[in-house]
Amino acid sequence: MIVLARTLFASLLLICQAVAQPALAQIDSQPPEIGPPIPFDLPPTNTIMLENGLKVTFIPWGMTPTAQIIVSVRAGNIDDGAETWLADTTVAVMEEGSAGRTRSQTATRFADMGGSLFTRVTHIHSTFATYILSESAPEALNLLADAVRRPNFSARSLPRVRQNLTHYLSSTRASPDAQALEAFLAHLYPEGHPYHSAYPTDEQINGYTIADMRRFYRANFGAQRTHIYISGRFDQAEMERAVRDNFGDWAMGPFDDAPQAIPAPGPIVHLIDRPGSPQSTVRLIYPVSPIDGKMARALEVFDNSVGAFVSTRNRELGYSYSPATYINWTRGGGYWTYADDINTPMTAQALFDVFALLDWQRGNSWDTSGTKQWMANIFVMTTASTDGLLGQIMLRDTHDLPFDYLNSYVGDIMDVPDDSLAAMARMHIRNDRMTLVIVGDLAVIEADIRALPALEGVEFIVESDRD
Amino acid sequence: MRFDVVAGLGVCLAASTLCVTADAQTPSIDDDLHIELSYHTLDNGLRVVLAEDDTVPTTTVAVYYEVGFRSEPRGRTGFAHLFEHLFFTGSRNIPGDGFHAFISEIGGISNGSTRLDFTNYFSVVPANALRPLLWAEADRMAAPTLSQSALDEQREVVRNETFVNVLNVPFGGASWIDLPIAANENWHNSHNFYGDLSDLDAAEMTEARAFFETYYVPINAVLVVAGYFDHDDTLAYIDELFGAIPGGATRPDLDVSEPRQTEERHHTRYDPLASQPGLAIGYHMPERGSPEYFAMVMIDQLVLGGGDARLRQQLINQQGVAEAINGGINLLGTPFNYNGPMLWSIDVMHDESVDSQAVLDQIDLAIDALRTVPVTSDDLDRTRMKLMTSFYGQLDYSTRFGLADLLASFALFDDDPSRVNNITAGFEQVTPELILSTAREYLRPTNRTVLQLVPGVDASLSNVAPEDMSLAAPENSKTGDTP
Repeated sequence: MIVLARTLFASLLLICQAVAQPALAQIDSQPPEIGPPIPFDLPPTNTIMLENGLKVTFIPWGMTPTAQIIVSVRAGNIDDGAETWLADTTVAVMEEGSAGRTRSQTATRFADMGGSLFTRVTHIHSTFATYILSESAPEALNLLADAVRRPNFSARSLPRVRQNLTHYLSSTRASPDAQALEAFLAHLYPEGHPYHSAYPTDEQINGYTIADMRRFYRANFGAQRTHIYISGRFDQAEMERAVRDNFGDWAMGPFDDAPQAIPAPGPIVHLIDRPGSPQSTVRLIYPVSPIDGKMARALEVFDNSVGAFVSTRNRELGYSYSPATYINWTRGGGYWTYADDINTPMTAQALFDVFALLDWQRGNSWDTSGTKQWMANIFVMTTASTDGLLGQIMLRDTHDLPFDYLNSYVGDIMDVPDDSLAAMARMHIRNDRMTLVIVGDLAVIEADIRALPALEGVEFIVESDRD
Repeated sequence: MRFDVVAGLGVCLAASTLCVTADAQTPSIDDDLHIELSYHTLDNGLRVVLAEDDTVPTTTVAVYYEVGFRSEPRGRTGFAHLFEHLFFTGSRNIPGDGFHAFISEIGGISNGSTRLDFTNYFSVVPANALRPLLWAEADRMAAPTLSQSALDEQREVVRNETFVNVLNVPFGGASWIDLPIAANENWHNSHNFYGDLSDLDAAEMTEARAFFETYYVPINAVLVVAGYFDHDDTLAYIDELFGAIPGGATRPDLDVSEPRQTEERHHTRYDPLASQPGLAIGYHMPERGSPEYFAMVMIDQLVLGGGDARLRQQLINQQGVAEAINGGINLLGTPFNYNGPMLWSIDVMHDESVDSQAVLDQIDLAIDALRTVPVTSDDLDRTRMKLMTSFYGQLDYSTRFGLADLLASFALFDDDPSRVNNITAGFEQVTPELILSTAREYLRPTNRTVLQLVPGVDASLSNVAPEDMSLAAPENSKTGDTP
């Protein structure tokens, strides 16, 4: 989050007027007026659906002769069941080769177009993407179709895929961020839910077979769960033909029958010892209603308002460098997070302040017009870019939001009443719903954390290897 | 899709916002890329680059000062970065921490960064808010507050930044702090850029004032405006605002030269927070802009760039000893935005069951091939294509920060921002023979430093606090540790 102090600005201007010093020769003491709004329209985007249910969105907008193609399949960790990261392992093996080509041969073909194959697995999607010179866009789509539709699933590649993943997991687990993630997801989702385990064990990774991956692929890959996004400069008619040629005969495939992912409320405090750590990695989490719920926009205003305040304050007081707040939207739910890395000796004091702030927010209403105006400005400004627009469209599609979601977003934000934030906070941002995870030097911080009034009566879990 | 946020919605009622009504122009795919720009020097020495682009009514402003990590005084490591923070803490007409708030209020975002040879401040705003943004930048260029309280506060902010980015991260900063320290001889290239914490504590306000007066002057700066604006009107306004600021003196000469390396160097860094071993390797680069430099940029793409990169194929696809391999030229920026000695680096974390020497042997196979076997014309063509998309990707970034960075860097270091339009010409001149001769000279073992990354605690430092240890280890390793 960018450091902002919106609420301070009005008072700063007043101070500025009251104590204005003699101006420099040519620089006025007051800023110049902002000019009139400049009319602008985003280029028209276009979404089509093939007979087999596959969707394609064209975003013909870019400054340079390049194109980005993302093939997004609704197949992610939500589909893992109890087989944590089966999705990741499947996609990793798919990346190893397709249509009889090896990974190296595929990489060379993409490089001939100036690009690479990028794969990614998220909680709900698997994406296969590339960024190439415009003239090669149809050929790149052909290669992506091979990667998605005709994976080799070669057993020969499996040992190395396993080795890469276990190596990655080993290094990832050394980071306090990953340790915190693993802990809070286990509290937010019950055993048996695909999100309960953030990371698989090495035994799981080494146990997945090619048959398991083929099974995962059959259960989750198909035309009706696929959405292709093409952005940049390209010939739309030519690309539509390429999509039909490469994906038109793909079977509809499985329906989307993934479970909901509604996080469970706490309260719970989970402390993980990291002796000698100069900072405490903190995740304070509250489950909230979903993105299409009535309180979603109020939560977004709350998040921006509180986030700006905490960010400014924590830096000013020397608590931390990069405090942040954010919302994770999930299927049917979501959770709001205060995330921070706090200077170890200041951990309890910083948390005391955050709890006090949230307590105040629950009982008071405050002027959020500046926050809302800023959100509206930033929304329009960032959406007025290829990547920004693409991101918003993908968010809309991911959560099956109304087609006019982007059109109505600014108005919806501006319409959020000030008093709805406190109402939202009283419903969701409550101490009895929190999950608090801290990874830090418990010898220094634990006693003070336990003494925080907001945590009175809350169950503590402590992980430590100390004697 | 049409954005129907016209009259009636708050976003269009406020003066600082965009209104969405008319069709944008999308260039055809056959258009050649050519950045339209103009370049001016004000009477006080401030260089100004204007690059109009009316596809989106937003405007990016970047101010680059030619002072960076290399320029900071001995005994004050990290001072350039600390000053960058201080420069956000108010100016004559924007008191307190008001700069971020001011940019936010006019609907924009802003940030800054410190690099080896420059410190930059960049913002993007709705185009109708360009004038207030320029006013704010001029105000702090003319008269930043630089108070003691702000210095004390920012010292703590930087300390926390160091914690989160370096000290609490397994092998944090190994390739971009420790490797240059180990590989370079000249102090200006080989000190801790983030700053030893004791140096930060010792920094005083008088030094900050002197630093400002020495380096933050128009004659040492470049202002870039990119995006939607009226050229003549904006240039006149810039001249009115910034032209009145005293130009300052030419900055002091700084010798950042490095002697030719003649022996391979080995150092070790330990980290008790890490779980896996690794290597960080640095080769001294040819002089920026030379034919060999362009050859090295292509070698970087051949060896590390994209999915087909030779080392990625070798260490990941074939040998499976590593999960990822990284590196490049100027890890804190791009191959284009530095001005002095530089390393081409490779860093890899590898499986603990594999010996680091075995990984180094694999890397050497790829390097030796470049030194003995000419690359094919197909290799070069493919590499040029990758460079083109990489270059376009930097230009096409939605905030235009990538474009502004190129324009500012070429203005600052070469006095010629139009180089942005012929940068590819340097790569067209690269031949297989030039790759071979460049590799033989610059990829020789005696031109490199190998930093071995070892999880755990160095027994000889067992009484040192972890926060000191991770920074001290590379310094100590200069006394003769070998892998």
